[in-house]
Amino acid sequence: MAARTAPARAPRSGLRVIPGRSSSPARLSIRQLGLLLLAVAMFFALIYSRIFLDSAAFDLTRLEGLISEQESRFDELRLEVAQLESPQRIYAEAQAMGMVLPEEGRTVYAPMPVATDAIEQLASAGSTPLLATVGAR
Amino acid sequence: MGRKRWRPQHLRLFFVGAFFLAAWVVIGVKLVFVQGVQAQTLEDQALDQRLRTVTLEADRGTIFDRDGRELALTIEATTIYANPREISDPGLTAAALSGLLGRPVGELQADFEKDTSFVYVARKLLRDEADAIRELDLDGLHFIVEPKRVYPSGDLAAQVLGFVGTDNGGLEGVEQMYEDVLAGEPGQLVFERSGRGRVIPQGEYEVREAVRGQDIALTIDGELQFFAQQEAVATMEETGAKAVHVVVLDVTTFEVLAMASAPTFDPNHIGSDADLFRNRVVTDTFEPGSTQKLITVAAAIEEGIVTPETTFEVPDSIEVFDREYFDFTEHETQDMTVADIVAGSSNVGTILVWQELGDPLLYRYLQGFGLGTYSGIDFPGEVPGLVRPAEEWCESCGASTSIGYRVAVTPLQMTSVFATVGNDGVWMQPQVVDAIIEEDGESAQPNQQNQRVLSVETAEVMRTLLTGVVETGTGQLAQVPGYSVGGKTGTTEKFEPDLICPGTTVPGCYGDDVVASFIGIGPSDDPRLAIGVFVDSPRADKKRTGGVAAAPAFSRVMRFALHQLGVPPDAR
Repeated sequence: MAARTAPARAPRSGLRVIPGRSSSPARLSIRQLGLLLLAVAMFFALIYSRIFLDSAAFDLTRLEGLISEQESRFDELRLEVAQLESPQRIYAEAQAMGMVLPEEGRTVYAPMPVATDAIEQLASAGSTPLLATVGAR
Repeated sequence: MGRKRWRPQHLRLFFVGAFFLAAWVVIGVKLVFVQGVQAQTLEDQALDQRLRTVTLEADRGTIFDRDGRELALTIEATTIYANPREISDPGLTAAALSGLLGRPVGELQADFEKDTSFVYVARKLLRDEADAIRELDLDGLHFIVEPKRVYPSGDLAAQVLGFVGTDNGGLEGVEQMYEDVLAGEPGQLVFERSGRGRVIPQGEYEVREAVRGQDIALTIDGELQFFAQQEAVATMEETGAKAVHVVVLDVTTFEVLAMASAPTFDPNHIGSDADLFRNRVVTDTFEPGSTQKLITVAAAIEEGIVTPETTFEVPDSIEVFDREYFDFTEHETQDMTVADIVAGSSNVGTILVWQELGDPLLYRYLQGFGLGTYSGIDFPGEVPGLVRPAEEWCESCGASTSIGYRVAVTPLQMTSVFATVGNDGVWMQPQVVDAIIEEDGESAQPNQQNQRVLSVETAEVMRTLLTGVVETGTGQLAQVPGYSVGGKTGTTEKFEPDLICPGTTVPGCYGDDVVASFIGIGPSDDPRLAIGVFVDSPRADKKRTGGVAAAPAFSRVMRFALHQLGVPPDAR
């Protein structure tokens, strides 16, 4: 009986076949999907809140600038009013209009009015009738 | 069994692995170093770069007159500074700014060529002025907001108000006197900023608000002050005087309604003449001369030594120890009542009254009327004047003092003497501040001292005598149409400390200059006001007596003031 040589083994390629799995693809449950959506929503809500706060802060800065500008304007108007009220200006304007200080002051004495019911009523209510005041002077 | 052989790919893997391991080790070490060892330092450095601390200047309180008119207020202004290193063309920038700022091109260009990162271009500009420059959009210019003190009525009551320095600290007048009240407390703002200087939202932000200064209401009546200033200037021009001072006091409260000096200054544009800054009504003294005869006579009447009808035989000169005193005009020896002595302002007659009164009593009354001591108005630079104690007086000193020499007083002190007579003999501390207004609108009134110097009866007698001066005596030009007023003239030679009298070697002598004054009260029967007009060194070729140089201004100011207060005429 003649000896047989064993057939040469094909060199191993290092690859092997893995038998396919027959399992069906995993499906997300409704609960898991809800949680995922909630997480995404929360993420966006967080982003939005940051943007909102930042934009509010920018608005605040802008408003503060506006307030400062208006305060500055108020100051200038206040200064203008004070300058307009200045005796120098009024005196110069009056002079330009041809006005002069009176040579002699005149006092006009109004007669004391006869007390009427209306005046008494005013007096009892705590008011000082103008005519009575003028007359008293 | 054979040894395992390293193949090239194994070596490469080894080196790559080792490299990454070493890299991770380095990163890890650095991480520990940065996050651990250096953590605090780096954190502080980062915060320092981002954090900015700004001092919030407190708004300075407003100063009002008695009617609520704003005499001094603080507004926001813009200060412009430049960083010369950011300016590419200094010449062009200087040329663009020169016209708007009113500064020479060369001066600005020199500033912009300096090797520095900060140089002031203009300080405290109003908004419109700053906006005009902002619109040029020039490189290297920066704008900051600063408070600016402004005086909307210009020179009105300038010497009373004073002014502030560039740092807004009070330097003169009420601004200096009430610095603590007006200044307020500065605040602080801490915030994080980006590289571009913008506030980082959600970053560190801490603010401590500044506390605004309190407001002050003065007793000054703006319109009366204006008129008094006008009259001071007019009198200065009429008489050629070096200076004229006018004081108006309310005799019932001793409130200063007007305190004017000419020449004056504009606190918005203070010049370099510091002489103009001080309120000479309280800082300068003079010898009161004949106006002080009021005190001598009032003291003698109060002490029961004389009455207005007491008659003296009055020559036109009198010798007291080593000195001889003369009346202003020569006259024969004549009988004069005390009323005549006051009306005619007789030096000799007043010295005769003093001889009856004596030094100690005269000194006591000088003190009683507030001479030689601070008035209590507490004004910066106020001087007490000079009244030496009676025990230090020489043998003729009393005679000189009785007619207003050897005594130094301020215009305010002397006007207060007449106000005391108008106030039925009660001297009060003059006041220039009516109220300090708290943040809640409440106001605090300063305390005021007072003392009786004369009885009501003596004060009334003195008012009659003073009315005689105006009706028939030396002060007739002080008459006010429609009103009865009283007062006293004064003309005093000025003592020059550096002048050497002929025949002597010691400096100190009376020169040619005089102080002409008129102080009076009105209306005589029910006084409301005391007014003093002081003419310093009227020119020699002009009328130089108090009755001519000062009395007309008194008349005009008194008339205006009585109209202003609505006081009805009382002339008989």
